[in-house]
Amino acid sequence: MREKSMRKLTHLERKEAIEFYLFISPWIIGVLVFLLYPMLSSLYFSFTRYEIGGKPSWIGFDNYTDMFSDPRYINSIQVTFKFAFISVIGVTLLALLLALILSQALRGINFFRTVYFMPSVMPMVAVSLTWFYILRPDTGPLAGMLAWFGIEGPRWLGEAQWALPALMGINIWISFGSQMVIFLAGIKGIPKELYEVAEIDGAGAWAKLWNVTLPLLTPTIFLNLVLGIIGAMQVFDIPWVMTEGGPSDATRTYMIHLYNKGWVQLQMGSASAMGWILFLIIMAITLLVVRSSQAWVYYEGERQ
Amino acid sequence: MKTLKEGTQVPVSRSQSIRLTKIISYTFLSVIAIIMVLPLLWLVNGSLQPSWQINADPVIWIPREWLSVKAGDSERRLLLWDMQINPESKEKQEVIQIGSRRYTTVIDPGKIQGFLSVPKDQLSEAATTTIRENPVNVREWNTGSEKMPVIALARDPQQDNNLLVMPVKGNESLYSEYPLDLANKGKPGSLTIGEYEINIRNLQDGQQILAIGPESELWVVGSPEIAKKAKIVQSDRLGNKELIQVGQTQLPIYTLEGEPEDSRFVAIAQENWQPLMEQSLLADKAFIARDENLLPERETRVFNGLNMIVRSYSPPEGGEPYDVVILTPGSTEYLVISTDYMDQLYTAPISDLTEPGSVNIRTLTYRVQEDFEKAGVIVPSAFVGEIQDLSVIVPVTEVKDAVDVNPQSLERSLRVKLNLTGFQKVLTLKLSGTPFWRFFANSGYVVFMNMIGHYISCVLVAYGFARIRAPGKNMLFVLLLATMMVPYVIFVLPTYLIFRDLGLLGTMIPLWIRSFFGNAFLIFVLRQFFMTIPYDMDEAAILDGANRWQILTKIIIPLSKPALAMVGIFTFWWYWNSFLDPLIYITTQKYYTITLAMNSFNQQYARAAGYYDRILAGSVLTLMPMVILFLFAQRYFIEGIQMQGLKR
Repeated sequence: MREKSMRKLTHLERKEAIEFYLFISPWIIGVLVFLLYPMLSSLYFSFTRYEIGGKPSWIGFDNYTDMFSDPRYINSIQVTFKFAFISVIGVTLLALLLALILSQALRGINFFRTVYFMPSVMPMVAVSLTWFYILRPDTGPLAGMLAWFGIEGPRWLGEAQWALPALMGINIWISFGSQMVIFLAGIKGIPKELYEVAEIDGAGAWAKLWNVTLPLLTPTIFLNLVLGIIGAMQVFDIPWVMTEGGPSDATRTYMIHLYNKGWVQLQMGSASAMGWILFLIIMAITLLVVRSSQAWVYYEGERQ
Repeated sequence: MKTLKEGTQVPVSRSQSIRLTKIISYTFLSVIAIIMVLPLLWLVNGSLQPSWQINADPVIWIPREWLSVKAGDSERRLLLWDMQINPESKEKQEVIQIGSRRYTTVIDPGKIQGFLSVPKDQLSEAATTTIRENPVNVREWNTGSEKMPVIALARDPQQDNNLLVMPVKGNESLYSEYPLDLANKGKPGSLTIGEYEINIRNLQDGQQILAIGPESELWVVGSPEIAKKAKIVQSDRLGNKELIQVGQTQLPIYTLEGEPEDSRFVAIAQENWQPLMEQSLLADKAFIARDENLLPERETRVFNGLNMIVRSYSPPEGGEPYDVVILTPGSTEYLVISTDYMDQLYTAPISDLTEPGSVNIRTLTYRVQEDFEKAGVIVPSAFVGEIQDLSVIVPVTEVKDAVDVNPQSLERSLRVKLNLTGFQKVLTLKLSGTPFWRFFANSGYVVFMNMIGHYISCVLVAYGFARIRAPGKNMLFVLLLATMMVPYVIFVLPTYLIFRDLGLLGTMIPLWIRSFFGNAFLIFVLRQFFMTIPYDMDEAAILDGANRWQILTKIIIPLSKPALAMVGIFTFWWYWNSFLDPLIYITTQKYYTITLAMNSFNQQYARAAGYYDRILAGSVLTLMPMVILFLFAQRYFIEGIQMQGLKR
């Protein structure tokens, strides 16, 4: 088949095709070496016992079955789900609310946008360090502010029930700004005529919001939910810098657990299997969101 | 008609509700803005404070400095205090502390009215109040039916759970403050009151006292001018002690060995001091001497007021024996230096030398304070010789206007000061031998290499996708978009193994080599932009005989500056901030990127409060390039983010 279609190409077309593949060859090589090969090899490793320095030896599904009997692994899944679910919801709601307010053509939009967006571009490590010192018990500035109101705050990162909520709050603080910027563009992209039509139909501000802005924004919200979940499920920098997974594993996320398996305990086979499980979890959630999207995401094509 | 009528009335209420909405909106926006800005402001503010202020309880919000004066020409600083001269006019005078004495409240036990034994659990906690200008600890005795203020005197010797107390009422005239040292000198005795026997002290003049506390302190303070005449001397040179009266308290004065008999000195402070030498001098001139090359005689000699041990050294290669100073003793070998360099010896109080590091030479170890500040300059200083007991003294003739004062009426002299030493220290800091600035350079290098990689690979690939027709192109483009969605978790480990098999672990190559093979998002950005450039321009060039390469470099690239800027900015953003990859690939400290270095610095010193200034200053320096880039190129960040997150 392929031979045939190639033969159909004229000399000039063939020359052009060769040029195309030459131009994109860096990326092709990149995909083969740094995408396809790692994916396949990690799939293979996930079925082997493979300690660094040793040779991989085939053990079938043992890695997959073994890890689910590890309570620390189960805990890391729970921590990651909690973190991702609450952060993504928080980020999306806050970003949406602020984008809707800012899109009302208020004065100072540039200032607010800059202020909200800035933490998203900063090095996660430096921001995490800043929060680490802000949350210090007793002598930290947050403790100092709470003391004005006579409140003695918890030890935040030192207490199992407060550490994860603190990290979620910080994650929302860091990342809602970039989301808001995206929603702002989405709102801006809604055709003015639709609002004019709605006004002729007698729609007030709320009606316009419910019947025009939000429905037309749903594809953007949907895409960012998916991207947000993919990102949040792989969270590493913030908990690593601030708590190293502690106290008593309260912030030991999936990636921290995987990092420890691979680079501390040096069990490459087991870590590969964990990578694939997380991949499958992410895919499953994405599919779930895609499935549900038929119920709530509005596609312009549908109307015609 | 009806609707129209309503319509005419709408504007009033509507403009009101619009105004209300605006107020609510702005309030909400401002609250969030404050929450966003405050942590960053605190970081900048904190980076301008010395460590003790960052870690102060209660929190110190404004960077400040405690004012102090130098003791003579030494590095020892004496704190300045503000003393109120006149409470009404709030006039203040700066003073330094030159002595102190502790006092306790005592009573004459023979005159106590109404002596009781009371169960402890009926007594409240003691609270200090003042009765006739004397501080006393008063407790409340709750019998259940009535309450009575009492003062506890002693444990009941017969009943363990009881305290002997006396009521406050009727005993008001008994209290007086008495120097603690004199009270403790009284001869212990006992006194029987009713059925109880209590321990008391008999003073020399026959008076009996019972110390009931609380203890308080009186300071002798004097003008800061005194500090100029201060000298640092070995404490064992201080001779006979006498007391001179200053107000209600006394100040001990001493004779000094080697000074005229009639001269007297006040000891302002007595502390342990560590002799120091510049580490660079030690590295250059100190050497290891084996025991057999040193004469057994040890002589203590004084250099710059410090006692050092001197031995005679015969070089094993021959030559005249000469005197050396023992810097660090060992069992069979010693770190020594010729006495010629002893004029370079200096010293600092041990309390100023927090968190020294150690240096090992063969079997010997000595300690180094990397950030020692000598006359305002940071000089890594090595601990040499033995700890010295030194006193800060001034001739008593200089102490003219000394007065006694309750220290509670003194306040530290301070002024607002933006302290840059955190930045200075972090830039001169070494993490296991690697200077800190090197980590910034490493991050810069990684960013630079990735930029080169992205500019070469992404431009070529994007050009291919934008301009050249070929079978399979659309399918590959969909694949390109799909790769953006694949989570990194799946590659992170096998990619590590690839670099391990290539023997590139521990080098910086894994941090940038992949950029030479393109990045899906940046290729997408460039391709979208190239598509907007009219094809006519290509065709005109082709007619002129230009080839693809010439079209790319002469037409497409010059017209694509905004997209190319975006590639550079995003590369900077990703690789300046990246953390997981450096953590995995960089094993040698000298290749640490700044994010990795900051994290490991924090892990080492998060519990050492003395390093907080450096950690915060380091964080500011890590953030700064991104903040500057963001403020100048915000448009590109916004456009790029929107391309990532909008439905395509």
